[in-house]
Parts: sequence; structure tokens; C-alpha cells
Amino acid sequence: MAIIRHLKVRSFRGIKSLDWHLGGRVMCLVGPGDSCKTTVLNAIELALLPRWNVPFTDADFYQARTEEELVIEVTIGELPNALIRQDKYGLLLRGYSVQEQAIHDDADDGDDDVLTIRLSVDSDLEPQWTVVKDSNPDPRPLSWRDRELLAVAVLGDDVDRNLTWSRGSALARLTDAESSAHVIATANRKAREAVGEMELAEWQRVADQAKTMARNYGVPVNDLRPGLDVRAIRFGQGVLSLFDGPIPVQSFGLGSKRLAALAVQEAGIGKSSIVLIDEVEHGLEPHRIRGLVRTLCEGRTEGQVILTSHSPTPVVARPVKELRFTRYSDGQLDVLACDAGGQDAFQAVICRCPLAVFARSVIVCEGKTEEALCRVLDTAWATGHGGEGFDLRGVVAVNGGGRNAGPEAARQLGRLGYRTTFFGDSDQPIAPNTQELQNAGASVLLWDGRMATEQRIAADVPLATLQLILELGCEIKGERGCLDSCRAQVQKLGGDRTAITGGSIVEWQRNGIQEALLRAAIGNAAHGAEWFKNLNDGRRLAEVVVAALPGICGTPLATKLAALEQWVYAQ
Amino acid sequence: MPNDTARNFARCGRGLVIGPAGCGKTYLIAEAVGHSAGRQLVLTHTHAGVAALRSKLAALGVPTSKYRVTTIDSLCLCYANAFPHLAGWTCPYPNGEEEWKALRVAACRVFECRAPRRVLRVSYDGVFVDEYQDCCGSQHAIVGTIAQALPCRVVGDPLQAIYRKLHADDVTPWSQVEGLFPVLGVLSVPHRWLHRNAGLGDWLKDVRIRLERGQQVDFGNAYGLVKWIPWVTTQNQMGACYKAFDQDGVVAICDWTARCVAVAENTRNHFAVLESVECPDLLTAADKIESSTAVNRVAGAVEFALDCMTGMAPLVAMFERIKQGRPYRPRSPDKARLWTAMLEVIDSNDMKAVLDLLLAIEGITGKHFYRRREMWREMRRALQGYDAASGRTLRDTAWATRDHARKNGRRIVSKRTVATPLLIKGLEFNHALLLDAAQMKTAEELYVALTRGSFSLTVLSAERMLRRAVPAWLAEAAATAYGDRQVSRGSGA
Repeated sequence: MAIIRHLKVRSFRGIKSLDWHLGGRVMCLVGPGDSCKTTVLNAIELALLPRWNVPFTDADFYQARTEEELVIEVTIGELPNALIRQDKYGLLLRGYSVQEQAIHDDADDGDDDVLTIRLSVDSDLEPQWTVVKDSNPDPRPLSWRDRELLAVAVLGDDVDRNLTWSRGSALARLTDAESSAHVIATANRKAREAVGEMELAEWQRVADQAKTMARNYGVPVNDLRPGLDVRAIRFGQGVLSLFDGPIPVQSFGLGSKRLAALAVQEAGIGKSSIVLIDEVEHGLEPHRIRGLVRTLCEGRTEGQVILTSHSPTPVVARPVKELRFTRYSDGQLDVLACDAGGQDAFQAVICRCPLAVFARSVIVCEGKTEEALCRVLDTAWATGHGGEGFDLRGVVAVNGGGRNAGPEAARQLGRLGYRTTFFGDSDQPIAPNTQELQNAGASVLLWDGRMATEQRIAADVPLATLQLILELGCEIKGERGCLDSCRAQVQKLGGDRTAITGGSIVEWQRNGIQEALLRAAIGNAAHGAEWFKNLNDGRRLAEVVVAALPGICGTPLATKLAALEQWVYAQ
Repeated sequence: MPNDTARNFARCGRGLVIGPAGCGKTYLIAEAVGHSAGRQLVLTHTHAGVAALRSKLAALGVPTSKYRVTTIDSLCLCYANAFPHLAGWTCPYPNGEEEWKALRVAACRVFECRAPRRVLRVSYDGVFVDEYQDCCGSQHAIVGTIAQALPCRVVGDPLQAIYRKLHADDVTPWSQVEGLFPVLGVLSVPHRWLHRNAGLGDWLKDVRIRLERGQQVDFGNAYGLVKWIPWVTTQNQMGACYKAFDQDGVVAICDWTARCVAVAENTRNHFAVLESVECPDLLTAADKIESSTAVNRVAGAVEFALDCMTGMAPLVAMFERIKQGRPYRPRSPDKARLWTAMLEVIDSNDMKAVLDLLLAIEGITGKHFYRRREMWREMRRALQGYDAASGRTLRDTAWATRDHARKNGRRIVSKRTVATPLLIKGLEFNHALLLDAAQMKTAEELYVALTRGSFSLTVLSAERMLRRAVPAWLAEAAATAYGDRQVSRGSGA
């Protein structure tokens, strides 16, 4: 029954400053390690969980600078009526406009009604929870009981404890307290009886000795015997826990335990709460991750779910508009989301290659040909750089999905803080254009001379390689089809199509076709008839080309690829 | 006999009950709150009214969780301060009638917006408004706006609408009120007089009908019910007051504050002046004391003391000496204290010195009497609460202590009070003393003055037969007096 609209953090652990409009009901935070994803969840948890004795230390302040006040402000909407009463926090009501993504100090008629809850800790480490409003100089204290009404839960933490009935655990909260006490008392009595019936000869002997000695000292004892101490079973840390038949659930595998604990917690809080899960994939195999994510996120109309993840499985299980990218630099944390306009392009890239989300640098290739080229270059360059290929450098090459989608995907990636290069054909203008891509922070690598990849290749490789390429083309497309398209291209370029008699370039030259013409013809044919437009065939092309690269340094092809190499291996 | 009126009143979505003086309108509201489901917001105009409502509700055993009693203006201030952007309201508390008017307009804006309405609807299940005849036009607009969000039931008596002259151009014709809140009925049992002076109650019922019709009121025809003194002289007035010295719950009625102060002085404060809410004299004095320094500040304090008490000759004499710079050897400890206190005020800038001076003034032996004890006490309280570091002026602090009283509801503590009809309207006393009926210029003022005492009424009037103009609202409407629509409230009180 609550949804967080905005989060502001100052000077909390790794975060010096964060201002984040959440913009959604379901989201998954992804980002490189140490980018404070868990800290964000912790901040929300500390501000909203109904705990009254939270110990803070100097280490909870940014760089342990206790002179700067630690502040966490959470602006929450869809509030329960009980909190909006005039004698509660109704007079501190503010407004949030989802369209403008802005907080209004007084709620306009079209706004969502929100309250801003502030947790502040100063150098004497005493936390204070208040409800604040700009126009009100006296913030109102927020009791932990009222925080309970917000129903925030961190699922999956303290797994072992939540599978028991220890104090404050989810199961304990669901249970009627009196019946638990009764169970323990009965258990104690039964245990004592059981011990009383046991054969304890050796202990009895010692007890008899003790009796004689005690009598000597005047202690009036009659029947000393060993028995179970009355305080043997106490309702302390998890005396009662969940069992599956004779097996305690606590001894299940991590994944199952976690899911069980999660299920129990959710039973306690209901569907209308705010749910935080750190590392949703922890301990789970991919199909169970997907199942969990679906159960949590699908069709959610109330409450809110905020996940973090290091794994590609949750990333592909949800649409890209639910992803949030954490970007951290020197204390400043920004949480970014994909633009509405770029969602389709970006979504396609992620579906094709979810690993891109977790890369540091991304090469967005225009199509499969370029992607195949990158793959082969990866192996080739690795040998030259001491075995360090793309993986170790955190580089991923993805298929951008064509001229229309690729540049947009590259722009989104650039905007979201990835180190990005768009690698593609220059035969037609790209949209967004080079300037826009660069403004978004991405680099652009296009072939010189307004050419597609195949055309550039055909123009620059030695003739022997070109022959190999032609042979590959005949193999893939069939000799007749391949030569036919060559003939058509030759004719278009003004040459004599009859000169193409067979699959040998040398022959063509002898028949009078100029080198430039035949290069162009083959290039156009390869591009136009899509000889290498899938990964396998593209690979074969790439292998041939890469083998020939050392011999053609200085050509536009080699120069461009060298530039790409430099970008990949830059520090 | 089941009490239908209160129940029906509680259940209707919108309604008006007309309650002549002493017929138990406050009691009706309290009962209706008891019958209502959920939490009710009960609105009235004065803090005295708040106190009266609270005591009736407590007496009926209605749990405090079921209601909140406050004044309309306090509610406006609360919401305008909570939603300043929606209201267009910037100052924390209004000073003066102009600013109050602006506040009401701002509050009306607030109550039309969705979010504040939501807060109202979530916090309360219904609204009751007492003394509706005292609503100025802007307050009527506010109640109308709130009535769109919540069930709203109002109680009033147009014949007690004496605030109209204060509201000047901000007046709502009573016909509009009835248009918005359909009349459920008129209370007719004069409970105030039923077990104390039933004859007086009946006579007053008759007076009401006469006043509504513009007919004469005869003081001479009410033997044993009304004590009529035909010559209005100061001697007679004071005589009537002295006769009341051993009685409890007496109110003497004049038309101006200055006349009230004179009565208080002449009776040596046996009759205490009831101060108005704003108490402008207090605020002016606070201003003066704060803005002056040294000797002028002492002058301000002395002036204030003269205003509030008699017998201040030694104080004035001492002050003259200080002004002239002549030395003085105090002959007694309290005079010494006074002298030191005065010097302290001159030397230091601290407001605490002024407080000491006031305490020293109180300690002057010899005959001195209070004219305005309440105001004196308020000044002391303001000086005690004054904190230079907070940036609030003495005037603001004084205003704040009055405001605190406004919020908590005020109790009348004196046994004998002298006041104007404006201040005592809605209140109940044992004995009423109208010091000059001619001072009551309108039918409404006269009616209010005559209906204050439940055991006895004493009237000083030069004329035996008094006639006043027909009240405005009746002159407008062609309707007959509400004789047809009387509703009996049952005999139990």
C-alpha cells in the first residue's frame, strides 16, 4: 500500500549524495561492483523499517566524516488513510507529479499524495525519524508504529532466523504469542519426565554420595536424583523451527532456504507492501530466478519491488524499462533509466546479449557481420596483448540490430554510463547521428568512404583474399546465385557482365574488368545479396579478413580496426 | 421518551436547527456527537464556546476520541499554514481583522483542493457548527466548501446575531444559510430556566416573539420574574452591583469596554472585566514597552499599571522622582524593591527587569484594586515567556499566550463578571444585571443581554416599554416566525 517516489541520501556510507526519482513500481538495480546498490537498499530499509534501536557508528557516515549530517529522505505515496489523519501527518502532506517527476510541497489536484520521511543522524549517533515538509519549520517525529503501517520488508535476509520462531521473525509475527509459550512449557515438562525415566545409574551413584555428604552438613534432603534442569528449553533464539518431515528446512540448499524464507516473509506482509531484495539471484539456478522474479513482479498493481542483481537472468526476465543503472563516481551516485524513446532498441540488444548490461565497455555493432568480425578480432588481439581478450577487459560486442536500432541502442548505452562505441556502415546516415551519439558519451566508428563493411573489405584486402571471399560466397550462396549477383553489380557499375565467366578473379581481370570495378562489384554483391549476414558465415569471412590484416596496414580497413583495437585496450 | 431530534440531527447529511437562547443548542450538539458514528469535528467561534462544548461533551460521557472541538478560525489557520502554497498564505499568524479576513479567503481556497479535503475526510466523519449566526460571509463560504466533503450540521439563532455589526460588508443573509442547510426544526423547551426560574423562561419566550415582530417589551409586567429599576443612575447601577456581591455567577452587562472598566473600578474589582480575545490594549502596551528603552520603558510599564489597577499613587510619585533624577531613600522594603526594580529597567535592556518591576508593583502595600486583572496577568505571562534569542517580539509573545488560551478554551473563573454582550453571548450565568437597557440598541443585543441569567434578571431601564426594530433577516423574509416549526426536545435535561 505504499510506493516510494523519491529517495534522497546524503553522507551515508559510500554515498555522498543521491537524488533519485524512482519512476516505477517494479525495478531492478544493476551496475558494476561497489556502485552502492546494496547501500541504496540499506538506506531505504533504515529509513522505513519499524525498528527503534538502530545502532549507528562513525563508519555509517560517508568517509567517516561525522561532521556532515547523515540524511536519508524517502518520499512515499499511496499512503494508508491512517497516516493521513489530521492528528497524524495529514498536515504535512505533499504532492508528487509522476509526469513531471517532481515533488510539490503542497499537493496539486492531479498529484499523488506523498509524505517525506527523514532519517537523520548527527555526530552523536542518535537517529531521528521525522516527517518533513518545506513550509513547516517543525518536523513531526514519526513513531516506529507508524512506520509499521508502511509495510516495508527486506526479503531474503537473515534466512535462518526467518525459518524459526525466534523473537521478531516473520513466523513469530504471524503466530499468536500465547500458544507458543504453551508449547515451550509443555515441551519442558515432557523432556523432564523423559529424563526422569531414563537409566542413569552412574549419575544416581554420584547423587547418593551427594546425599550422604549433604546430610552430614545438616541439609534435609530425602531423595536426591539427577534430573533435567528446569531452564533446559527456553524460548530463545529459534527454539521452534520449520521441519519438512524429519529434516529441518534450515539444512536445505541455500536457494531453497532463501525461497522458503522469502515466502514466509511475504505471507506476513501481504501484496501491498514495499519489498526489497538484495541479489535476487543468490543461491538460485536460472529457472528458479525467473520463477521468483515473475512471482514478485508480474501484474503488480500495488506496493513496490526493488531488486538488485549481478546476474543476467533477472535482467532478461523483465522489460528494460524496469532496469535501473547505478553509476558511481567519487561519492556521487546516479541511478539512471533508459529513455522512453530508446527502450525498443535497447531491449533488443539486451535480449540478444544480456551480458552487455554487466560489461564495462560495449561495442554496438550494426549487424551480425560486424559482430562476427569483432569476435574474431577478439581472439586475434588477445594473442597480441598477452592473452587478454575482451572478457578480461570487460568488453562485450553486441549486435545492435541494424542501422535503425543500433545507433539508438548505442546512445542509450552511452547515456547510461557505459563506455560505448558504435561500429557500423557509413553507406547511409545513422540516426541518431554522430554528434548526438557523441553528446551522449559514445564513440562512433564508421568506415571511411560511405561504405558498408563488405564493401570496405572488398576494397582493401589483397586480391588473393578477395578470391577467398568470392569462393566463400559461392559456397554459401551457391555458385550460380553468387556469380549472378556479381554480374548484376558489374552491369550496374557500367562494366561488361559477360566478363564474369567463373569463380576466378584472375579470369575476370583477363576478361577486361578493372580491379577497382571488380572490388566494388564483389563488395556490393556481398552486401546487397547478404552473403555473410549470419554469425557463422560472418565468422568465416572475418577469419579470412583478419588473417590478411597484417599485410595491409595503412589501408582504411586496417586503420579503422586498429583504432578499434586501441579503444578496446585503452586504460 | 427516545430522543429523536438529536439522532435525526446526527444522521442528516445537512441540516440546521434553530436554537433560541437557553433551549439547549449546545446540549443538542453534544448529544448528536454522541449519537454519531466515527469522529466528529465540532466548530464554534469563541474559545469560551469551545470550553462550553467540551464541558457538555464530557458531562454526557462522550469519549474524547469521538470529537475535536475548535474554532472555525483556528481550523482555517491550521490548514492555511499546513498548505501555504495552495492557500497563497505566507504569514504564520494573522494580526488584526484585515489579516484574519485574508486568512479566511485563503482557507476557503485550501478546502477546495483535493489533498486537504482528503485529510478532512480521513480525519472526520462529519462536522457540526455551533453559533452559525455569528459566521461572517467568508466563514459561511468555508463551511459551505467543507460541507461538500463531509456531512455538515449547523445550529444557530439569528436573533442572537450580534456579530453582524463587526462583520460590516462580510455578512451572509440568513436566507442563504437556510438555502444551504435545510431547517430541521426549532428548539422550544427553555431548559436553562426550567428548574430555576421557569416563569422567567416563559417570559423570555414571549419576549422573543415580540422582538421578532418589532413589538414592545414590557418590563413592568413581570412581577417576581424580572426586577425592573426605573431610574438609570450610577448610584442605582452600583447599588444593583453591590446587592450581588454575595452571589456567585453574576454578570453585569454594559455596551463598551470602557464602561465595563469603570464598573470594575467602582466595585473595586468585585466585578472583573472580561477581556476580549485579541485584547488590543495588551498588545499595544507590549509594543510600547518593548520599543522603548530606559526611562520610557518604565513609563510604559507605569502606564500599563495605571490602566490595570487603582491606588498607584506611590508608583507615580516614585516615577516622577526618577524622571527628575532626584535621589530617594526608600522607607519600606516593598518601596525599596520597587525603586531598585525601576533602576534596573533603566540600566539593563533585559525584559526580565520589566517582569521584576511588575512584580514589585504588585507588592505595593496600601489600597490598590484591579481594574483589569486578567490583562495584568497576561502581561506577566508574556514577560515570563519572552525570549530575546528567539526573535519574537514581546507583542508576538503576548499574542501567543492569548492564542494558547484560544486553543485550549477559556474558563470564566471570576464569580462576578462585567462584560459586553459580544463577549458573553452563548454563556450562561446565574444572575444577569443589565445596567442600562437603552444601551442595547438592536433587538439582537437586547435579546442576548436579557437571556444570560438562569436564576434572575435585573434590568435598569428608563422606559418601561422598550421597542426595537424588527431584525433584518425577518424584515427580508416574508415568512412568519418559526412558531409553526417547533420541535419539542423532551423533558429531561
